[in-house]
Amino acid sequence: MGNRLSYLMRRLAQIPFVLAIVTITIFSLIHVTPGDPIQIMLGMQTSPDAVDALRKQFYLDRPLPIQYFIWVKNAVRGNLGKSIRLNLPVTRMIAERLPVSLKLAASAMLFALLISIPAGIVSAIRRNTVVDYCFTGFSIGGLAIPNFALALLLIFFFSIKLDWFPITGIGSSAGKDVSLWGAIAPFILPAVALGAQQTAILQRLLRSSMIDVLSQDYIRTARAKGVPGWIILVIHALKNALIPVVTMVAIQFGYLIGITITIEFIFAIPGMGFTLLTAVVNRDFPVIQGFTLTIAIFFILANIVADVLYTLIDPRIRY
Amino acid sequence: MTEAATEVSKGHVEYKTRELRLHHRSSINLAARQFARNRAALLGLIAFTVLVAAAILAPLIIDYNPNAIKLSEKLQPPSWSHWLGTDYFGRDVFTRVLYGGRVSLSVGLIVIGFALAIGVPIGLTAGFFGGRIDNFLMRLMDAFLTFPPLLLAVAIVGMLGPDIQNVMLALGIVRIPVFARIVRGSTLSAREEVYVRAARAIGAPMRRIVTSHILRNIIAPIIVQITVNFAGAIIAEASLSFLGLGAQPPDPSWGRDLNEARRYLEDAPWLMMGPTAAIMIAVLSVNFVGDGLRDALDPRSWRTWQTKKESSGSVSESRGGN
Amino acid sequence: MKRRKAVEKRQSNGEKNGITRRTFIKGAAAAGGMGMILATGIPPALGTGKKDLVHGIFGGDPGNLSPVIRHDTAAGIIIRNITDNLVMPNYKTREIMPMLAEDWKNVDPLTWRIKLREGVMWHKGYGEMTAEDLVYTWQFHLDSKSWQVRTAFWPLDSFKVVGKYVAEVKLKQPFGAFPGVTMGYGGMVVSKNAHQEIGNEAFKTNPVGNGPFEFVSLKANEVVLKKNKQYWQKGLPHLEELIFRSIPDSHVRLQALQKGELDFISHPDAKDVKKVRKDPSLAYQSTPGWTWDYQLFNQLKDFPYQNKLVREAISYAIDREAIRDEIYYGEATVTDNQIPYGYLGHRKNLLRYPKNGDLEKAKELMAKAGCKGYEVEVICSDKDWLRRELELVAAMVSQIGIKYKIRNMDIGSFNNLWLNRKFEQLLEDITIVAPDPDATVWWFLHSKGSCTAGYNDPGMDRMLDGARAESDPKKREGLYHKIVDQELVDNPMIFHVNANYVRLHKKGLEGFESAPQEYIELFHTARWTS
Repeated sequence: MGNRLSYLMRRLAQIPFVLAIVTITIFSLIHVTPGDPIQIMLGMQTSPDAVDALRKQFYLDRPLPIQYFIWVKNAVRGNLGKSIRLNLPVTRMIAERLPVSLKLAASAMLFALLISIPAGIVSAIRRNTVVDYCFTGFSIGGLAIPNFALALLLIFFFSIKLDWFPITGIGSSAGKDVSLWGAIAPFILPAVALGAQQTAILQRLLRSSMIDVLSQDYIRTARAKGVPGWIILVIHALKNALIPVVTMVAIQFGYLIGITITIEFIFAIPGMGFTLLTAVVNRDFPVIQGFTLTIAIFFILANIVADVLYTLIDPRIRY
Repeated sequence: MTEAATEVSKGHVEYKTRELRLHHRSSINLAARQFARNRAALLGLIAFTVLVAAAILAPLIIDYNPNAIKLSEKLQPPSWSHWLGTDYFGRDVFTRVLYGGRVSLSVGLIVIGFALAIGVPIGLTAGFFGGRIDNFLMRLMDAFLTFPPLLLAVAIVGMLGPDIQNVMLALGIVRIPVFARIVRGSTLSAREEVYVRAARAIGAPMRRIVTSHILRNIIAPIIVQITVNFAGAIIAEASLSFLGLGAQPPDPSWGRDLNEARRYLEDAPWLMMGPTAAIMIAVLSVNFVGDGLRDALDPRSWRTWQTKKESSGSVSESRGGN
Repeated sequence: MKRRKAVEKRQSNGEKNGITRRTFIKGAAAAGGMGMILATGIPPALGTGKKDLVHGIFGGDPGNLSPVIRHDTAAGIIIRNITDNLVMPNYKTREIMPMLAEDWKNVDPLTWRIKLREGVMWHKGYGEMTAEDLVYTWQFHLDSKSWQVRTAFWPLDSFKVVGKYVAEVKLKQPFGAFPGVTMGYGGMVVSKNAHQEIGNEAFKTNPVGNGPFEFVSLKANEVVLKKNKQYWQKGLPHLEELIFRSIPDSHVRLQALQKGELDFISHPDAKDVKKVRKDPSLAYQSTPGWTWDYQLFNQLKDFPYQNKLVREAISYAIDREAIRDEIYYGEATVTDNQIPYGYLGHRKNLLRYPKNGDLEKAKELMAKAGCKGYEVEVICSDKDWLRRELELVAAMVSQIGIKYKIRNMDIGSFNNLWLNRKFEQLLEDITIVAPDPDATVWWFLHSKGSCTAGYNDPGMDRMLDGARAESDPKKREGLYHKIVDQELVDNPMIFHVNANYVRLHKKGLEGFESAPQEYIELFHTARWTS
């Protein structure tokens, strides 16, 4: 237990180090990319003087390391600067969009887990039977279709033809449906479109992981001891089979925020992804830095959780 | 040999004997036969080979020009002269799918290859040595993992130009940590296995430990990752087509054509069908092959824990034996 | 019938302009208009229909909403419902109608005197609009060297407040298009008090105007406006709430409209328009627009297209009608010159090049130029219809031996290459912002123009500057004809089509008039009748 706690402490202490790597890399990358945000913002008709004046205002005329230092100095105090394009505080932009992104990612993951865990277990037990092929094939289907194509199909069938769910509506104040259904309904189609890929990944992983585990020595030993089959499955196999799955969920959660861009675009969802894309395209440095920092923090925390869970599940692992 | 393998399915064979046998050359044959017994894997291999061959041999198969615009023939449904119909510029969809395979398949292969080449050694090093090295490498990988792929792609394309190889570079870089992490996790587990600790205890050279013992254990997750990421790479290329990154017009790629086809979902659904079917076949076949490989190469999977009751109906011929 | 009344409401009633060189009698028209309104009376009692309108706007997250900082088109639509303009063009007669400016006189060649309307109140209690606000706004543009300095305010020298509602503007040189361009494009005034108190940067997300709707909130991808109860046009607006939601995908925008999640959209995918017109629950308005697609040649680079015969050949190789039909599905007008219908100096849409191109002539010209063909990189931004258009154009141009290597990039990279003249050729579209021919030609044809790429012809420069300064409309017209004629032979740019602006909304919306300007979508007279 003490070992685990010290490990946790060590990981938490390393967060600044990781964040430093991330932010420095992103910072260097976007400043090296051709394109000046002021020029883009002021457009074709502007004069060089106007551009220079604004550049000064955003410290863009200083050397890069100084700019980075200024940014860090402010960031640790909670000030992530203001968007060059919109003049909104980056923290406010994050506060508006992060909850939406998290809700979207969580609902996608929930959908994925609800389907993939039972499917993975059944596939592993009844491997290479029709059932297995069906489940595996189905979930690979979810993996094989790009999520925007799936989203369009879902919209076409479930929203236009059947009229079961709305298309847009997340983050909107118009439309006075304040019931529970009104709050949940716009999330359903995007969650399925996003979650389909996760379902496939997790089901496959769980299946192969379960198969591996089920053929381990200690499973056979337990069986030899005479414990009924069911319990073996649940207690021993699943616990160990979940290791790679847990890792994957953590990795995928962060990855999800990166690939929500197309889904956010299609469903007009005010999440982190699309705004980050707009910022990248417009070279809006403060927004890019702030948003990637936020995503990075979440991701790192998720990974730490995954690693700690590792030790709970497989007591043999020592770091 | 094979008789012993038959016994495996009934769970009677000593594991140690099994293990020793794997060092024989003929273990490769064994693996191959194992693979061949898996119908889905075989089918997948054939399908994938057909796809690759079709992409390479496209000009020999069909003589339409994939980029030639012929407005008079636009948006025709599938027919004898146009097997998958024509698109909004009158180009034959089947031809474009074949030529598109060249771009999309190479995206998948190059991205995976790149990520493997860098990610696996990192993961092995981290998992095997543990401690500080593990820490440092994994934190580095964490940093990589948090890069939004689109950001990286736009930046690299912005710097180097909107060519498909720059897109591949960007996609490859983002996938390194995925492989590194999985390899590291499995290596950590494998390191603790009885036989590995035994090998280390008796002072076996590190190289031998790694290649003989650990690699065999981590191949299965790596293979699963390869198949999963192959699909992801092809699909990521499709998503980047949103922004116009990736294959440049008028060149076909599955992702770009799929993106252009989505406006026509209601009017001309066959436009979406071609690239979607191609992507799905590619992804499915790679996955089945991956399954088959994993089953064939991993000795522990040759045994099944199923009770006699279940083995009568459900265990298929793919499990060891004749 | 109802629509015309709405237009006339926007014009001032019975005011006469003291400008002697105006050729039409605005007073008569206005008097007639007023007569009609008085005779038929204000439209019957406001409908008991719904009171809000949800507008699905294109583009990404709404950008800044300040009228004195450069904003994109989508933001422009929102801003124009928050702040009224000094003048508004009458799109049918091309004349400049008073709005917040009641009267303007060219007292001497270098001085204009503007009289503002009285009783126009700023939102949120910032008092009445006065000449001080006008002078403050324009001075702010000049001091901050805003993007409009080179378009609308380039001739401005100094200002003077002459009365509470009267301002005098001194120019550096005579500018015939002052009412249309400076007062038109540059005519959104901000309140001096509000702007100074809120601050220029904060104004982007907290604007204060004097228009029919007040700013309430901007959250992520949604802007909410509410009715301005003190609007100077009495009885307007009818709507209580105007909500703009950003829906980037044009297909989904239309689907959301059909499902009832939105009330109004613009810029639908042209492909779907024909189908949608059959939908009985939707109404369709399409206006020929002031947006062109064009190819631009960077003549600073050493390429065969530096030879103007080659450029002419390319223009002959383009089948403009095919572009109109394949890319815009008919919702566009073919054109080869840049003075469109509705502008002074317009003659015909196609002056020189045939609508389906002339391949033979093109090949002839290439031979004459001694050019066997070449390969060139053509860049375009990520507007998907332009990407398709470039594919089509590349196929057309390949017939005369030229190979276009298409480079499609995000808007940031694209702008970067363009601004720094690092491209070879490009395809892009541009919207003209003021109803005066100067705004369509000077920036692209003058050697000092901001959109020119290496084209430098002193004769052309002289004509352009002359036409700017000229005050006699007949003489101006003649000059612009000459300018376009030369441009059609020199071809520094090649024009393809003018796209239409298509607006769709639920049936039952009355009083909305579709304007031929992309960023003009005014809802002050709109209301639901059901």
